[in-house]
Amino acid sequence: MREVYRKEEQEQRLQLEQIVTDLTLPINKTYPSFKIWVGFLLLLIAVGVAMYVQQLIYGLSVTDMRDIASWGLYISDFVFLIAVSLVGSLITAILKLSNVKWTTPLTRIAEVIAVAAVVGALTIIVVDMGRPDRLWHIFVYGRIQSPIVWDIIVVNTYLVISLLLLYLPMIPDIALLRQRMNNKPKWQQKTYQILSMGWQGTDEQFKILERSINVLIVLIVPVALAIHTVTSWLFATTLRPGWDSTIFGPYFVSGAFMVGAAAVILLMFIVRIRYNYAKYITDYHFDMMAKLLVLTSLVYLYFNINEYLVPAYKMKTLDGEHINGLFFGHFSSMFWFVQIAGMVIPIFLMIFKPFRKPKAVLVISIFVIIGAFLKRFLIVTPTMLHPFLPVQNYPESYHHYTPTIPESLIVVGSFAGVALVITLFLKVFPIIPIWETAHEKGISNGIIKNSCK
Amino acid sequence: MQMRASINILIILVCIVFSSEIVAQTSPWLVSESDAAKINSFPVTPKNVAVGKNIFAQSCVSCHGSKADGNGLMKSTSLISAVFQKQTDGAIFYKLSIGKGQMPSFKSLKEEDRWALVNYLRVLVNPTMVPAAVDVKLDITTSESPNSVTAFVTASDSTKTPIADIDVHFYVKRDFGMMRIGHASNPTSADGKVTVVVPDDIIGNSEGNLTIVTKIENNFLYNDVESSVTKQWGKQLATYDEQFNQRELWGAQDKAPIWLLLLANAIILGVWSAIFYVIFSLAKLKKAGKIFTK
Amino acid sequence: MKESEKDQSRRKFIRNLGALGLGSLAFSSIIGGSCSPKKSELASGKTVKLLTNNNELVEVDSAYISTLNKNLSSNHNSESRKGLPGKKFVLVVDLAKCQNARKCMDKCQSVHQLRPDQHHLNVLVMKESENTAPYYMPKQCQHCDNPPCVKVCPVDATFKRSDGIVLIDNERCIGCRFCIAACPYSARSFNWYEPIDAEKYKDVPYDIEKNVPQKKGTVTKCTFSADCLREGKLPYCVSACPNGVYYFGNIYEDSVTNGTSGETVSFRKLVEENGGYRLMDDLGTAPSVYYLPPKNRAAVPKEENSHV
Repeated sequence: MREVYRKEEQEQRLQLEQIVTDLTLPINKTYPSFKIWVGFLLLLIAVGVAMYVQQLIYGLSVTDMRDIASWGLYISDFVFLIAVSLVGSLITAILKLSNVKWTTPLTRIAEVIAVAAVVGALTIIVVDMGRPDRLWHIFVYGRIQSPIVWDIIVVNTYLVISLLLLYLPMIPDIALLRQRMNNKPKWQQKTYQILSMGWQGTDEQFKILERSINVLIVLIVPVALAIHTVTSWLFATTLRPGWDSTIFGPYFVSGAFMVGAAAVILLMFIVRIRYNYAKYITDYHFDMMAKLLVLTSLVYLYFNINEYLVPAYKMKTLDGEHINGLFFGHFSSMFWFVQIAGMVIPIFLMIFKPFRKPKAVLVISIFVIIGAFLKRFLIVTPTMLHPFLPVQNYPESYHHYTPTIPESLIVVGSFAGVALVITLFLKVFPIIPIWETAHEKGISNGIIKNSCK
Repeated sequence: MQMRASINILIILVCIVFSSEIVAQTSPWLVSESDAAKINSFPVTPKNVAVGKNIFAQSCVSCHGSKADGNGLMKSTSLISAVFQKQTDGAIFYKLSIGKGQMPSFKSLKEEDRWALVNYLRVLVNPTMVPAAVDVKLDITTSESPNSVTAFVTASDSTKTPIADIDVHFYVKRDFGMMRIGHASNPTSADGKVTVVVPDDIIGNSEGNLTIVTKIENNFLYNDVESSVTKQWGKQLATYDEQFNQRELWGAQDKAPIWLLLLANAIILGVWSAIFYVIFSLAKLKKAGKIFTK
Repeated sequence: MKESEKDQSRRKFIRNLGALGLGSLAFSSIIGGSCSPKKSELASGKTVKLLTNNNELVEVDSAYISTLNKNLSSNHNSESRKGLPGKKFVLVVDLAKCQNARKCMDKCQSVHQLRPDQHHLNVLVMKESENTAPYYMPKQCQHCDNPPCVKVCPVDATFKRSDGIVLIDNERCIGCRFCIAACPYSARSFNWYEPIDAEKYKDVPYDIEKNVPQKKGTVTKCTFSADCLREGKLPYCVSACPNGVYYFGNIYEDSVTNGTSGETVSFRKLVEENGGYRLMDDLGTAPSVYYLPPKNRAAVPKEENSHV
């Protein structure tokens, strides 16, 4: 009897060792391609920064924004990144609250995407400011009546909650790293030391941690809905045709869940291929994520039908002009690409099982992400270009908006920044929760606890 | 040498071509013979010239300038140039009636007044057509129920002879100008007096004071003179400044609506106290670990 | 102890009074005669650039100017946020008279140091439908009583005064351009580039009521020429019009004055008798600009169509 028990314990210990070795692989092993990738990202960021310096010197005139299209690619990028960040709450909070079990290896992926995207969004919104040197005015002269102030409050709140929600479930893992990563540089060991918060895996600590995480999970849902709803209000609180809509809040939120799910699939795929994690991120996970993507896309499709078909049915003069521009006019090719390649076809394909295989889902997700970015562009630009009154006595170029090379490169730089945050995270922390994975594999708490000490 | 001469010729040629083009651009404004031959049946009198002067001051000065030399707010035809004055009365009458390009049509004016304007334009270059203006004295008296102002015009010399049939203008002072009361023309009667009733719906200052100004102006027989009186005959000025101090969505930082302040702060407080609870829990977590190691 | 405190504060007060007296002395020396020998003795050699009322740049010795700057400039700008007491300004645009002379636009651009593609005031060719005739419509900021632009400003940079004027403080503006997005009248403009003559006006103190000198990266807009109004003069555009299009006045006083003829009439009667209306009133913006209908559209060349 004791023999059997000891044997089982030995097996579990070995299994745990395997998990720890697998999941700390990115931290322990630096592939040459990793260095190239980081170098490439740094280059893109450097180019973006250089372009931004140029913008600081010459003003926003380096962009193609002018008095008519006074918001452009930066705001589109901001809305896009805010949308992407929403997925953190979807995977870690909403699904967890609904007792979904399969998301365990994906929670950290979702949460790190959320944090990185919010950081990117905050950066790009400062880039969009005409006077970034006066950023402090918002804190001194801030008016609570302005949706921008709401957005600043709520986005920063979301960032804090997301950081906590990324960090708290990671504490047992960090404690484990504190024990194991003795070959790492001093600063890294010190970081683990501090961040592990003296984790010993006692029952009391588990209780405190669990309670705190539950508070965060409940808290992040309304805050997440708020950040994207308030972001949609930057448009919906104006009178302009195309923005003057009451469904903008849920419309934006549902679109955000769609692109966020696609972003998680993208990162899942990369992590799985790069570190041979097929054992942890299985085909089943891709299948389930694809189903989730179908669900969120269907909701988004429903809002799209509402948002476009209702005004198209009525054809009020200015709304009609806006709708015509999208359906048949200057923006039609982009619009139909977004609607069909970025939404309808993905939904249709993913209904069939073969298209829920990892590679197929990856390709579909890339289309969804591209579509989602262009969609944000289509929400911002056509409305700006069609104000209430005719555009006259301006140079011909004011009638169009085509992002210039500097502003495009700055936006590319912002994406590189988001990717860099995720990449560096991968290098320091386990992207798949070790403790939770081990727990799910049936390894007893005692054994895990012992390996932390 | 020859070269230079030929260049000179070329320059002259170019000049001729261009100048003829300029002439072509400001193509002559053709007036049919019958229109040009129309006879002005209103002789030049101080009275109708004064009417013409009034119209000029209101409708023409802005473009043609106070000297009528074409230097108003925009470049326009000089009305005192020989070229202009060479035209017949009928031609000028036709042009100002019809208008062309930037020159508006003044068909809306009475025919009589349009001729008066033509007469005035003639007097502009030939002032001796009317006698020289003399000074007069303008006094005001007021009476109530109904509120009215009476202008009394007398000769400025010691005789103090009342002057009849002299046009007096009545105004109320406003922020940016003078608002006319009474008729466009208020001629004095035989006793040198003319009375105008002040409407009772004019808004005065915060006490209801109105400044009423009487003027003799744009008159060819008499020099300009004015006289004013202030009376509490107006409605009191009502302001709504407090409307702009209310708490509104468009109000300043310190004028945010109460409901918004409460709502926003309640949400911020609620969410952040939960966040601080979590951060506080982290401290507890650490403490729990320490106890264990001891 | 208390006694001495009192004494001190009294002395301080007297000292301040003295400073004030000196200040007003220096002030009067600028206002007064032109070039008395006494003043050249005072000269410091340093010159300061100033913008005169006629929009000319002059250089003045800093010795004469320092007090004026201190006592007027900053104070002047905080005063500028309040509005003129007892006034609520209103503009009436008679569309029947507009002939697209554009003198108003030119004057506005030069006074406010705008680039040719920046408009505080824009004369548009309007055409409602296929079978209606086009007409010219000068359009400036409508100085709304429920201003959508002011609502959304995050930093109180754009604000509404008690006299109805909506101004922008380009020393406060952070350049988020939300107000441009929110304005249904497209009345606002942004300084995408370094403003023209930025170098020339570099040292000129900022005048919030004229919004000059312009600053890169900030929003600019029609000010109803608040600087003129403070002096009791009509706005620049109003007095520049050769065609009598503009009437401007104080709605509390129920009077408007035509900028061309100087004729002053009752605002209420003018709007009542001519069927005046406000632009896009159904948006609930409550503009301070009224339009008289474009009765006479014959002056507009038919080929000048706009997209509606």
